[in-house]
Amino acid sequence: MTERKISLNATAGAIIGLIATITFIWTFRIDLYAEALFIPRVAIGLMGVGGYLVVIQDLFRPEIKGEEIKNNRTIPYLIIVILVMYLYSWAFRNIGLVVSTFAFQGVWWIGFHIREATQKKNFSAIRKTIIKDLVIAAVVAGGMHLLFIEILNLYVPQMTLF
Amino acid sequence: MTLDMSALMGAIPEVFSLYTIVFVMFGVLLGITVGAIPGLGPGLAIALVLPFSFILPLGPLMGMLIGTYKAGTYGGSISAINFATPGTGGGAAALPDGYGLTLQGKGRKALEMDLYASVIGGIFSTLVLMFLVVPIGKAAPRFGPAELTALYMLALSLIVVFSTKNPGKGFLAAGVGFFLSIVGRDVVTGALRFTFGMRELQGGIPLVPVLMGFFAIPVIVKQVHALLTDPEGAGKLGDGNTNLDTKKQERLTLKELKSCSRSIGIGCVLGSILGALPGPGASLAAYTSHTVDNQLSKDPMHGKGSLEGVASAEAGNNATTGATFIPMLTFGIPGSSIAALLMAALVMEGVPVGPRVVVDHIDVVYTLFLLMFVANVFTLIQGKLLIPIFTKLTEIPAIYLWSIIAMFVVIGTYAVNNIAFYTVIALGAGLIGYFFKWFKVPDGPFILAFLVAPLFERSFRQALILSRGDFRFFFGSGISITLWTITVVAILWFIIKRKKPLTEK
Repeated sequence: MTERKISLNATAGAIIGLIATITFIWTFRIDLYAEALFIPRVAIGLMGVGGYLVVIQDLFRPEIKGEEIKNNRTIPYLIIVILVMYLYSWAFRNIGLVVSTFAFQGVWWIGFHIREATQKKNFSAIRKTIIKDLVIAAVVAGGMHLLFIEILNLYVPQMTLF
Repeated sequence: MTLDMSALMGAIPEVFSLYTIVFVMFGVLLGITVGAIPGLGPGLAIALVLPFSFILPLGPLMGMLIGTYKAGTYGGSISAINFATPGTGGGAAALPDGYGLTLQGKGRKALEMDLYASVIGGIFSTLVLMFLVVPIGKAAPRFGPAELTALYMLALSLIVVFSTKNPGKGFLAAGVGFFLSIVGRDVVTGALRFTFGMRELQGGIPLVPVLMGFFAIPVIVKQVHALLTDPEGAGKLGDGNTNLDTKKQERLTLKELKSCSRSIGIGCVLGSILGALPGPGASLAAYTSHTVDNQLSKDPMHGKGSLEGVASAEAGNNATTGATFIPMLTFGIPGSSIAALLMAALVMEGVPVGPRVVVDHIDVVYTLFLLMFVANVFTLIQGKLLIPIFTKLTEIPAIYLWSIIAMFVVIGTYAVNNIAFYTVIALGAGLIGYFFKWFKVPDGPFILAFLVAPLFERSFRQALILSRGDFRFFFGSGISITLWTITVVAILWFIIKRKKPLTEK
């Protein structure tokens, strides 16, 4: 007999099932017509049933359970990427498309190259690489302005820095 | 419908004039380019060139608009295949297989299959339009709320039962899709549902930002992780299988194209049927074709990197382009926002689009038919010329590429409607996509449920209002009974099919 150990998969399923159950009960306290809540309840019900099915399948039929879920430790990168993208979204509307694109791309690329050089302890070509990064960032920023503002006429609030 | 040869002959000089051809070519180039930019579908490109209706005669104008529409529908899948960032909703269905092939170093094959399937789907759809515009046009209004409910139920049941080996995760994915699709104003009472006081959510959650964030952000995170932990290994996309001697990727062979004929056929048929119905659109057609083909395919890589997957999704996506015109030309009802733009252009050219257009302006109708063929031919030619450039794009070093993709996701989602909150929606969808990838939850049921649920809810509640709550109304016509039967048979077939391998084991 295989060892019955609760996997990450089953834990997630159980959490989702529990949240869905609580939300399903909560829908009966919402001040809306029952007909307007029919589909939402179906949706929440599906989530709950799905969550519990994952647990049941994981615990009682391990021979057909899905691939093992590993803790891939990329959540910090997810947070960084989402934060950077949100910041860029704020910046191009509040600072200006060209300046923010140049700054974000430049900082991103130079940061990566400096990190790489530090890891390899080789700074011989770093100045040249940084200049190349800045030139490419300027070209990309110019291209973005040309494409979105000049050609596609995208509305972006007018800023002193463009 | 038999062909009106005199009208056909009358349309030939207008369509095959140099003036018209040049504008068709311009439209195709614009469509491919704009379609390939994430977030900017053919709708935006058509809106951009619509003012030309004040200065151009009908032939060149409609040539340019139809070229933009057809090529834009094809172009939406290019960025999906290359960078896992769909340009349009319909293009997203080709993403799992197309991007899977790119990662295997077969990006060029995927792009070529994408092009051929798109053109075949487009031509098939045009033929359907030419020969079946009247019969299909007559059948379309027989799809009332009860029939549409049965149709959407069929689509929903297919998604949940077909898309996964793990029903729990399938239900979960469909539930999330359902839930997100109903956020916003209720279609009947106008009450706000699950907006949590956020004004931006009152209009609901839009499709394109959801698709872009859902697919692109998990890939960006993966690539950033790879760059930071193993910069040498991150490299270029599909490096492993590129022919290092010639630095060229393998091209699609005729044998491979032939082997995908079943997938293309499925896409053509389903795309033409779903495209003729007002509402469902290219996204639903592409996903349904891909899902059905997935069940019939013997390719173990289907859904992960298969040419068949690209073929069915793209044929389905593009087979809607001709069918969209059916409700427009038969009843004057635009089946989609793009059809509405094309209809506006025709009205501005002095063609009153309505039930009598096939009688009173048959010459214009035949001009449109021929322009669709010409647009398909130029999509093939120009697409073929551009494929080497698109393939080269995947060779941009990862360090530059993924930050540019991230930037395009941000601006692309904003550009959908010039609403900054759409970027937040994309980021939220990215979060969901990340956890879906991590826990290996299938994305098909999520996307299909998200697409179909609002349509299903509207038809379902309209039917209930019409029947005053009598559920027998859902089985009141031959069409609905047929659709319900197919649904039940499909579910039973799935159960038997699922049990077989276990029993054999």
